[in-house]
Amino acid sequence: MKKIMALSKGTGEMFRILWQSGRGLTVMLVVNSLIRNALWPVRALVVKDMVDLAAASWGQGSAAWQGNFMLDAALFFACFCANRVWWPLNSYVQTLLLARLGHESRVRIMAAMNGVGLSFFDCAENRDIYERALRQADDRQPINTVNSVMGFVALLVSFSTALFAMAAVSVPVTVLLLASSIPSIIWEGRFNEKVYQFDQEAARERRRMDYLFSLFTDRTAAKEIRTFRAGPYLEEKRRKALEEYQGRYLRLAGWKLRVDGGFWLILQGALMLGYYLVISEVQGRGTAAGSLSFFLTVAVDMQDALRRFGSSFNGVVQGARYFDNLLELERTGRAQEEAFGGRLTPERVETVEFRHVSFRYPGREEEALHDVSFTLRCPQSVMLVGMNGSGKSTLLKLLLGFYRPDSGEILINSIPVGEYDREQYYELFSVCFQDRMRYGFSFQENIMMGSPEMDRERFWEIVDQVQLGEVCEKLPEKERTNLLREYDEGGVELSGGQYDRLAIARAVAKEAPVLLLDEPDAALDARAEETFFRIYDRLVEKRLGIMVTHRMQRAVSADVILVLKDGVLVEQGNHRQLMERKGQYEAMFRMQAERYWRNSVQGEAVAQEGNLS
Amino acid sequence: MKNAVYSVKLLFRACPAAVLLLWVFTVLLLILSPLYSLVDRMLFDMVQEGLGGSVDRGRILRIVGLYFGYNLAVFVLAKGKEALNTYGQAKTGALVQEKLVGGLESYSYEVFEDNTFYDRIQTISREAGKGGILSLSLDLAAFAGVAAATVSLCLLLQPLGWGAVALSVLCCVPGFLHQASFGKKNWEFNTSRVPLQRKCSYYFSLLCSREAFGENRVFGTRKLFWGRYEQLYGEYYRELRRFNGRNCWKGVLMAILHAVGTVSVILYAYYRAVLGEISLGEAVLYAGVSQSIYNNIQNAVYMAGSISGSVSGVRCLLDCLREGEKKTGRNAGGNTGESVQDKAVKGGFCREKTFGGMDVPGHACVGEDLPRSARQEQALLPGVLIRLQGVAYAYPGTGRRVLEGLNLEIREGEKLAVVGENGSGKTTLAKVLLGLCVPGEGTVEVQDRPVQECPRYASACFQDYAVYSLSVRENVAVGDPLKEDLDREAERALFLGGLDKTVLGSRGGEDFSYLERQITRMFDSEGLELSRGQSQKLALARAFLYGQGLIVLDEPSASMDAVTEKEIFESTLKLMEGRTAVVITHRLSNVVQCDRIVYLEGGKIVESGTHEELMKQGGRYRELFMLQAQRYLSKQ
Repeated sequence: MKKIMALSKGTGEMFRILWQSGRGLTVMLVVNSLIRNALWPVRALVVKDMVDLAAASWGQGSAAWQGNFMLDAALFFACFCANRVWWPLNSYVQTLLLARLGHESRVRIMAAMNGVGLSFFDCAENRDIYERALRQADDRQPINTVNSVMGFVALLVSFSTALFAMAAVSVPVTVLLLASSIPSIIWEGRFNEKVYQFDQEAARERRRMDYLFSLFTDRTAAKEIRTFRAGPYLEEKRRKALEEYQGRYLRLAGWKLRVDGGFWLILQGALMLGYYLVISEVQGRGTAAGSLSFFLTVAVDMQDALRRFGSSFNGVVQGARYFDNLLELERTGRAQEEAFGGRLTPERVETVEFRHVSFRYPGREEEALHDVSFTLRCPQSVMLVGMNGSGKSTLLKLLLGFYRPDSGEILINSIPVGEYDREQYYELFSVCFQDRMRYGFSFQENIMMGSPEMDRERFWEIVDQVQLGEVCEKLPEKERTNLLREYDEGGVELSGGQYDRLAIARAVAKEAPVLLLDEPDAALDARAEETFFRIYDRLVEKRLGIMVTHRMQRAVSADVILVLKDGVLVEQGNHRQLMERKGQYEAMFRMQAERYWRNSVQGEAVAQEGNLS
Repeated sequence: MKNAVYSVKLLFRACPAAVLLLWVFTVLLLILSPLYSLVDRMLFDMVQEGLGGSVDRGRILRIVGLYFGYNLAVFVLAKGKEALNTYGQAKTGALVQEKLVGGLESYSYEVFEDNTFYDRIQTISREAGKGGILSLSLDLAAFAGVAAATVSLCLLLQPLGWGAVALSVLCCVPGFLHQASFGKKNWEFNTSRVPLQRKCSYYFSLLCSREAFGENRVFGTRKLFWGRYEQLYGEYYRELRRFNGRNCWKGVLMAILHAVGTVSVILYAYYRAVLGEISLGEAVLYAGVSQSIYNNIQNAVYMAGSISGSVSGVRCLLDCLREGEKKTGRNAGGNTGESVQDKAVKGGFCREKTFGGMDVPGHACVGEDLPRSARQEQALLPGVLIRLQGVAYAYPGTGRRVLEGLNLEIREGEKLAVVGENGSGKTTLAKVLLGLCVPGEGTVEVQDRPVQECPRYASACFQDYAVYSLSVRENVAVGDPLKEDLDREAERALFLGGLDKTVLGSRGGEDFSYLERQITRMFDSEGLELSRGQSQKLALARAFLYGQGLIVLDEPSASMDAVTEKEIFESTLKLMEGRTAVVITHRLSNVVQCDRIVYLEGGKIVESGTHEELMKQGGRYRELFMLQAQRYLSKQ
């Protein structure tokens, strides 16, 4: 009962998505499917009539049957034509519907992915679901299912027609044929179940195989593979993964072959027995040549149709289950979306507060952040320092609501972030992540994508600020030049440092009250770094700027320095306060400063130059 | 033609018996079809003859036996073909992928910098997944089968009159032509829309991938991307509809034309039977035959479509495979059959033997086949390891020279720092040193031999290092998976790279099980997600483990904290005594200890010397150094 419920739900879902994809096309698909599945008994009946006419006319005159023959001829033509025209029409409908369907599924995936939090990506199972849902977006499964369902309906009609006509020929033979199909109906369902399971299980294996193969086509990996001569090893690994996958697949196919053969024997045995009986009977009676012709055409088809009952039904079941992935993805998306349930619209930012926040990445034992509390005000310049892996980036991700803290609260203007409207909440932030995206858009769009209403003057101002003006001038189409070559033949690749500056420009362009920067200076040269900090100092006059950095000299002028160690906030205060504490911060600062100090030619010269600038 | 020969060779190498059998089965399956109609005829003739007479059981049994024989043959052939096809596709698919991987690997790194290469790779790897080579050969075999079957069918139909034969064949021809041209056009259409589709899926991935997740949220770019996606999709769909719509109506027209032809032949046969001019058996035979002709031609049409459709794709794939084969043959001296195991063992052995007792790892495998005395001589003098003369380099497809007349000598064991502003050519210089990029002008020599002839002489940590979704051990030892005492070596490399092994879950001591842990959660929910700094340390460990000669570090400390950075530059480089190192960095305090510093500007070396010398010189280096130092010093 449960199965049937799930089935009807799944089928309904499938029809809905098809209907949404294209109404006209869906109707055409249904009609086509009817033509294909319902026409064959009619055609066989027409031929039967013609054969009977021929048999009846043996030794008789020709005047009486001419009208009948013309009618049969016309019917035969119609059947034949419909059957033949079905083909190009069907390919047209299916091509278009497939494209629409892929689109429709993708739209739903995009909508679902819009809801998920960053933790979604931390779970391999989730990625499998996503992967399967995406693969199924290009699948013809819904179309097949419609064909199955329609085939099922048409089959009922045509089958009963054939059944009655067959029964007129010979009742025992009809029963025999029906009975012989039963085992394979039952078995086919089992087999499909196996195939489905295999598909589900093999998703990860196939993903691994594809991943290993993709390493060879990837630009970044290409460099390393050549330098480290890693090719042979990776190749061996890829081969093993492939063999494993194929081995399983071939075993499955071999098994199917054996079982198929067995059932074929049963079906054929029954069919041949039927042949023998019908032919004997026809020869005994003598006049039913038409019935014989009808039997020859329909017997196989009927056996087949009966088997198709099973596979049609199973097809529907399968189809319904294929949608589980998408539905599950949507469920996950909805569940995670509820993190931001509120409707509040923040006007501006006054304070940002962490209250005893602890957080552990899903599936990890150790906490990434432990009992972190602090309050920041706007405007303020905040530096986040600490060793690698001390939780700096995690803190930013929590503030952005990508993850939810396990305990404690994050508050903006003393209101928990959960009470804000999500879209509105993100209006408050601008960010430059550690993993900066490089977009395959034009130079201008790379900067303006978050703030499309920006005017040209401001655009060029920002470009100059991050010292990309000169670079931009040299591009073949100036600011309209597309970046990345993957998507445009004429695309241009910038250097790593230039991409970083582009990401900074993007963050600056969105004039949000809170500016988050995660190691924006990692790949900048000394001069660019210097300029960047000059811009930054101006920006934080009116904003709350939170920056993660390993360059301690930058912390000197910060209003607040937060020092993280193993997920715990160990020190906070400004440069002078922390230096006096002689703790973690002081040690780190001294370490870096000394190296400059030691190696400058003369301390005075440096101090002098410092004064001059 | 070359491609045809090559593809046959390829298929035979994958699974000769299966391929041959497949061809035979395909042809037989098609030739069998007229036989069924012949049995039909026997049956109806018997019925007509025995009209009202006694039942001849023996004859009936014979006929039923014939039917069964026919069905059995068809079943065996069809199933056999299916099974062989599955097997053959798996085998050839594996071979093609292997060749492709080998081929791609043999390409020099530069092609990856090439604009058009990505598009090509895209097409080719898609083609490889489709198994087009085997299908194409089967289609061609089937074509022969169809031709033979059609001829025999026409001969069977001949007694009804040549007119009938001509009619039932000719009415199929327009459809045939249409379908053939459609297949080709369809392929062209699909290929030409690849960039459009790729762009479309790019926007899709921007909305769904982890990498784009954060920026998407914060910059509120979702609507923008979504809109673009819809727009691109709409464009694609409209074109698809226009293209297919045109063809659909043509197809329908051809179908009607065909129906008219075939139906009139069938009706003519029955009409003659009704008139009593031919027997009923004959009528049934002719009806069956003329439909078989239709089926045959339809098969041919379908195959023609798929042949002309896949030919170009397969050609692209084959070209790539052949090229790759040529290259691998040249580079590796034909060790295609050799397993990794053998190679690695050999490599290790050769290192063992030649350099085991020597304390000059700078040589590594470079001098592998020099006479022993010559090598020793070189080993005694810390000579020049790498010599660059007049090197100029421009990336393929661009005219701009990133390096311009660059001269540089690096001595064995020297620690060289390369500094300069963004875009001055530092990373490109690294790629040239590693032999990844081959300069158009000038020479790069490693111990007086061209760099291309010296694989395994260097390792590197790149700016955009890769983190593999494999185990920790594999990540560290990806280039040298069979190194002796690997676990200990890997641990040492991780230590040198500054990656705390407790982060990886080590319980300390002799416990190496943490090396088994998977990096990233792509395939394992328990996998380790490393922070950026940790990832860089992992990449650094990889560089330390591999090779013994030159080590190139491109911004190794970009994402590292102060403590680790200090360790890397002060202790680690010392620990690698004897190894030649080239360090690219923006943090000038790090380069102070280096033996020599070169300042790059516009692809040329403008300053060179030790820290003290350059500071005294008062040039650009000093300027940059002071810029960084002042913040530390003025406010201390």
